[in-house]
Amino acid sequence: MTSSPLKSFSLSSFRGASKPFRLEFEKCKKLTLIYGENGTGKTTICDGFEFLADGRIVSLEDKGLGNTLDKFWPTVGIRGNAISITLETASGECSGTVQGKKACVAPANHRPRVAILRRNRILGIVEAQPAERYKEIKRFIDIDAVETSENELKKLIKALEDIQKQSIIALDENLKALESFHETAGKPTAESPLAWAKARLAAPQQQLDANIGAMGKLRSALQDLEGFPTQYQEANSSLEAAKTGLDTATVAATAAAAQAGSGAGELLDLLQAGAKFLHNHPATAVCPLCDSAENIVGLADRVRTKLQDFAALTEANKAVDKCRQEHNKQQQGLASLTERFERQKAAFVAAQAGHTWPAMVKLPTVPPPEHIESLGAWLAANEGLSPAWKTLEGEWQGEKRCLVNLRKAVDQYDDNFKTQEQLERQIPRVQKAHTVIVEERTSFTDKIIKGIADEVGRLYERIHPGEGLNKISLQLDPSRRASLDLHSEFCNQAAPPQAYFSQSHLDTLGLCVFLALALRDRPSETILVLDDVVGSIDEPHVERVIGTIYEHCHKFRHCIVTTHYRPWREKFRWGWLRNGQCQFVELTEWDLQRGLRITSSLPETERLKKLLAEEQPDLQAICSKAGVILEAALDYLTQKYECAVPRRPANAYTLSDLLSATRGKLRAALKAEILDAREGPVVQTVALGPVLDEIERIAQARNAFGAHFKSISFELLDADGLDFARAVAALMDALTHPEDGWPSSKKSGTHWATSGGLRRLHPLIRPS
Amino acid sequence: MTMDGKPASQLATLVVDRLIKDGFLRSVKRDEMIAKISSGKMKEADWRLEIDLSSGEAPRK
Repeated sequence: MTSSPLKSFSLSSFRGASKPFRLEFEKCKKLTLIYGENGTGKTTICDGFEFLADGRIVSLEDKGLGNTLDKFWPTVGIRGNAISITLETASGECSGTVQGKKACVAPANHRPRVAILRRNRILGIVEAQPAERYKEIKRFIDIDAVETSENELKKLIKALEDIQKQSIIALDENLKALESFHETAGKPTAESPLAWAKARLAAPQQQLDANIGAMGKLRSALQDLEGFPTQYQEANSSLEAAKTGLDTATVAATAAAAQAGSGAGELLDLLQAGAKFLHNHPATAVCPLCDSAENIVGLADRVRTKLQDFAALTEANKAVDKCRQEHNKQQQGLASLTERFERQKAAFVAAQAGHTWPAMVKLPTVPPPEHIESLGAWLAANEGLSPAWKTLEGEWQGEKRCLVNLRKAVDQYDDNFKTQEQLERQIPRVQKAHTVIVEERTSFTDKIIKGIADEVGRLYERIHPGEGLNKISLQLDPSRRASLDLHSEFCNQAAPPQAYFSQSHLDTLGLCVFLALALRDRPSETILVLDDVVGSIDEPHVERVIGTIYEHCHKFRHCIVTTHYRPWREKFRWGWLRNGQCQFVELTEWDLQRGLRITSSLPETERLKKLLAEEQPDLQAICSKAGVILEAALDYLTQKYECAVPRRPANAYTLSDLLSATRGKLRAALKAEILDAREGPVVQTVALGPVLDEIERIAQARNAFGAHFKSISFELLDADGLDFARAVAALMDALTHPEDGWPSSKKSGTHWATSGGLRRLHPLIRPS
Repeated sequence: MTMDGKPASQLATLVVDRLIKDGFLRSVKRDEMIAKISSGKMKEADWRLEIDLSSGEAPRK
């Protein structure tokens, strides 16, 4: 967004600009006053600025023209794409056109920022609903994101408070659990359950764990030993049975061999070996025993037949082998059992000896016996130990579980207690932090809103003295979000201005609110446009409104004020306004063929000089104009010095009345000082007495040439009329500054001075 | 960091400076906090962490 000075503004085919229109902005003048009767095109210029800034024309809205307002953007009868709007500034140009139905403004970085107030919108913010009014100032207090962060902090407070409530409940439950443990333990001490539990947990726990571990091993070892007597008995029985079986089979095999004949046993072995050989070598050609081939044929069959003859012996031998194997197996089993017994016995001895047992634990008085045969007796002697150990171990396990649970309860208590302690420190901090944010936010928004209200009050006070300062207020409604109330003081009572203010007061209030908001929102980048808003202010206050605009226009990038208020034009022409600050533009009658037109707006003195400069001067016009200007000058002097003039209805003073009033000491004392620069040296001093004397001498020229048809004019020379006019012009040149107008400030205390300080008028008061 | 023109940034700067002054935030985190608060990204957990850390308290789960 740029803030460079404006150079020119051109419109073509846009609204009333049926012909190309160009407005040149004068250098160093930030206020452009566009005067024109109704229908001369003032609003078209404002519309052009709005089009460039916002791509829309609000003056067309709310007029029942439907939604396709773009068709009304161009001059009647011309297509929209012919529209051309150009704002030329010191830093470049910005142009507006219509493409399709859209406003197109380029380049975007030169798009002007415009704050525009139109007459029909002047009461907009005053009469708006609080919510709508809030929207107007929202841009100054748009802190939604901060409030989102603030709400997160509020959620944190709620969450921490919830945790605190839960931890209090949990802490109570933990204490109850500890009381229960304490009671279960029979309340062994007079301490609190918590102190007892902590002392209990602080005691060494290793002995209990060691006891449990050692008891487990001891019981396991004893259980292992307990199995041996039965196993030993079974193994012994089995060995006995195997031995009996072997003896029986051996007797049967001996009997079978005797029955089969002498050497039957050896023959059987031989036949079995031969059968096996012949089975494995079926193609053998000779007898493997005698190497003879004679009987080899059918030898295998004959061997099998022979073996069948020894079947009983064969079975008896097999039975002996089987019984022998069984006997060997039982012998080995018994040996293995004995071996395991030795190991378990050693394990038991180690388990018993490897731990320092509490006195309550009863142990075998003698170690397990050397021989397994005696184990049964040893176990019988210690029969009651195993159940006692089991009971004891169960008690120890129970105690251990109890300690684990106690530890858990104490840990939970400690944890919840720490949480609560932390929350007791944390919650007040978080609450205080939240309070800080609320305070800062409230102060921030209040300050901004108060700043706006104060500015409105100051502006309003400037227009309605005694009615504005500290009497206009804006307040955010705390019970509703995004709602802004407007208050005022009326007859020492608080009241909404809409209820009691006159229409004119409301209008000025609306203007003041608009100006106050515009002044807060990057004014140096903003072109302020006031479209005919002065016309709705009542007569007594217009002067002050104009003064207010003059005072603040330099803060904006530029101010454009349109008006049809005629006195403003006249004040400009008569030098009553600070023209050095203001460019005056007058629009003349509009028609479709010629469009918007600027007409000459020369001040009256300049007009007189222009008339005097003509090659063939119009004496009547010159004297008439000079007479009016002289009246203005004398009106100024007689008022400034409070001169006595004849009292007549409607203040109808004659030139003679006014000139007479300046005679004497005042006229002699009157002098004007001309300076080139404020506070600079006086470059010329003009004694006004002689000028007024000369004017008075030939003042009749005004009536003779300029006001009436009189035969006396036949007697006068044209030069008399021209001299009269030149003297008036000289008086005005001495008395007024073309840009600053009349000397109206007496701040110096010694003389009257123009606003720019380039004209000084002496004396300050009429000499007595 | 200077305040940008947005009201949220201006307010966030005032809030953070005040919270630092009152000991609720750490000064080393000033710019980060201003950015987070002014953009509405300061969450519940962020507040807790920062307020805890500013008090020298180790945050608890």
